[in-house]
Amino acid sequence: MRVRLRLYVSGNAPNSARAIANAKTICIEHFDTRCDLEIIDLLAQPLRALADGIVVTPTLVRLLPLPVQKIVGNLSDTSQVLLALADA
Amino acid sequence: MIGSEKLSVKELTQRLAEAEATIAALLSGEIDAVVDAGTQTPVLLAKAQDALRLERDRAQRYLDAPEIMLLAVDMDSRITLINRYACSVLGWTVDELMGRHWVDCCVPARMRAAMNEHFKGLLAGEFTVLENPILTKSGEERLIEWRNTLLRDDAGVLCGVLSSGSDITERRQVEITLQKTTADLLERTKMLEEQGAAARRSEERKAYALNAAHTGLWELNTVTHALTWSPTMAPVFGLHPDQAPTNVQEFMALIHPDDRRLVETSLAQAAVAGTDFKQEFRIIWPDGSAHWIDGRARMSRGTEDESQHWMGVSIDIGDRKALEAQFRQAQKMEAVGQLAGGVAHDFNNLLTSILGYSGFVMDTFGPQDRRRADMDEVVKAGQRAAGLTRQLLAFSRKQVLQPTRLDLNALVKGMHPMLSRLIGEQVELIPSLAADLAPVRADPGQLEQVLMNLVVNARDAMPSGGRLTIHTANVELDQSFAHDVVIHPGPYVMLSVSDTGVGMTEATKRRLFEPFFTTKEAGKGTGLGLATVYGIVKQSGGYVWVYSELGTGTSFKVHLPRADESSELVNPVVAMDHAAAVGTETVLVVEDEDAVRLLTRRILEEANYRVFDAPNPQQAEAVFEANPNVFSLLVTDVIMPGSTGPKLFAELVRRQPTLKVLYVSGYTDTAIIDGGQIDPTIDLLQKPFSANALKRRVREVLDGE
Repeated sequence: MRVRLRLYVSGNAPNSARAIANAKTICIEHFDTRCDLEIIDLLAQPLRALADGIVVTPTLVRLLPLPVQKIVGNLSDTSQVLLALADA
Repeated sequence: MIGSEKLSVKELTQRLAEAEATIAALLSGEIDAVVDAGTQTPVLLAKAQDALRLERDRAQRYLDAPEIMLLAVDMDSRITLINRYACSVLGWTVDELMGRHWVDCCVPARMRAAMNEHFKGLLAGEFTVLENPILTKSGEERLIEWRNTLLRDDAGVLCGVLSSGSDITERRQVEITLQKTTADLLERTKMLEEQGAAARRSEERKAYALNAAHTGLWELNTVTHALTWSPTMAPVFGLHPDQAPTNVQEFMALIHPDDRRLVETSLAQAAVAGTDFKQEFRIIWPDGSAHWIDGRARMSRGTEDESQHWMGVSIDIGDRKALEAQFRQAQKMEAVGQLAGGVAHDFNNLLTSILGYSGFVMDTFGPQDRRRADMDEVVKAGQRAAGLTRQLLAFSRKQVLQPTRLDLNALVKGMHPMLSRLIGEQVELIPSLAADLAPVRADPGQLEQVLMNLVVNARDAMPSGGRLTIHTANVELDQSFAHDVVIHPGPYVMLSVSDTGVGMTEATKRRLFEPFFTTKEAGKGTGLGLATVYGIVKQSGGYVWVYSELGTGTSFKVHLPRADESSELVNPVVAMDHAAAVGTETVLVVEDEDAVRLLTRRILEEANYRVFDAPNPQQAEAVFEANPNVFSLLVTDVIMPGSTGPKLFAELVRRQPTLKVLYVSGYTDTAIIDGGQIDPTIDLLQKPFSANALKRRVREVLDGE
């Protein structure tokens, strides 16, 4: 099953940068090629936030598998992230 | 944010979870920007984040700093929140504790069951404060006081308990120590109070002892001159405690003016020499009377010179001084008595010769011869000298008394006519005699002398007339009667002679019984009258006291021991015709004084006796041996060189049991006499004797059984 993730960030803000790095690492290490990661910079595309009901950055949204899950934060706690992603 | 869209419970729950996660992320600082709900643009949180971080740090500090353990558990007692301080106390990390069962993990095993019950009580709202031990990772127990708040969810449903705890282990230990200390203090206070009471009792005992010993304590600071007195000091100085002096000057003012210099000098010398101060001195009481004090003090030197002070005692030695004075007086009386006795002994021998030979000379003159009147004056002078000698002997208690059972009332009545003549018309003589007066044991002649001397003294105290009372009574004496002499308690007969005369001063009273002490004009009194009274009364085993008040009068009270029931009343003396006092028996006269021996021999020879004489007992024995069974009578002196009259008689009567004896003495001698009182059955002739007296006594002894 493919995992589809979308990460909302705010440019190169520290937590956003860390979240991007963490998300990429997680995808590569845990989901290999089964993982699609889309990164949306809300500073560049502010209106994209509305679609997924994003309140803060960084926020990782698991679009697939359903249900949609949100993980708020810089994703440093890998185990917690995996736990959240895995419970699908 | 949620708007009015309709959401399922599931969705709602999810949104809530998301919100919580968002908040948690916000709090943990993992958020960069917040999307503005209106513009849908992310608002960068760089600055806001810093503020938030600060806020969070502050919140964290609040959570961690004030040494408060914060703990939240859910309904199953599982830990849902715990702060850093709580972890530091418990020794676990936050991660190790989160989700663990609080009671199983952090409460000592023995408390767990009780704790679970407590938890139920907490949830039921029965109490909010709980104190219980917790178990740390290392197995140590700490005592924590918890304040608990019930946690409810939004719906108001009970969901757990938030507790803030204080580690009160040390506080409790302090409290326990404090309680113990307080208890100790109370105990010690109680002990101190008891010691204080004991000390007070000890102080009371000390004060009592000091009071009883008439002793006061004082302390003097030599720098400030401040003086402190013990409560027992004031009575010694006749003062009320309020009147105690507070400095040296006030104290010095209490000392007799004549003794102040002495005390000051003594104190100064002691201070300089570093020795103890010891000085007897007089003080003046407020009533003006002088009192003797034995003062002793010691300089106490502190580490600094400033702390020097005197500590001293003042002892009232009035009683001792009085006793010393009495003792000195008694010694003086004794010495004078010894002297007088010795002189009187020699005088008696001389007077015996003078009177005896004067008699012989007189007998050679015819009745009309003028020389007879001259000789008569010589004899009278000799008799007066003999009277003086007798008084001296009486005072020295060396005369010979022949006490008998005697009725004092009869003696007073018998002397009444003579005493009335003696005191003259201006003085009224009032006998006041007890009806049932007991007899005394005394020498009647000597008691006549006592009564006469006292009456003459009373008369002389009333130059312009007055009343003279002679009173007799039966009395019982014990030691309470006098402090100055030892009294043999028992029944006594009192003879008092009181006058309404001028009275006596204290100084006169003190010297009253001294021989040759007189207040009378020169030539009027010998100073022997009361000394004689004193001697006779003492020798008779009695006491004489004087009570006198200036301007009111004087009363002499003589107490004589009552006679034993067994002793016989005095036999009336049968007067003998001088003419009949002659005889032809052979008499041995032994006397070491030549003049007296020759006189005795001559008197007896003139009375027709056959007389042998010897100057000492040895020669007397030789004479006796050379003339066996010749002698009817031994006339011997009592005291002789080498032996005594009684010893000589004992030796001779052994050889010739029919031998009789007449002792001649001017001096009491213990060889035949016990305490100066002689058995009335012993025949004794006192020197100086007249020719008639000798002849009469010789005849009496020869004719006796």
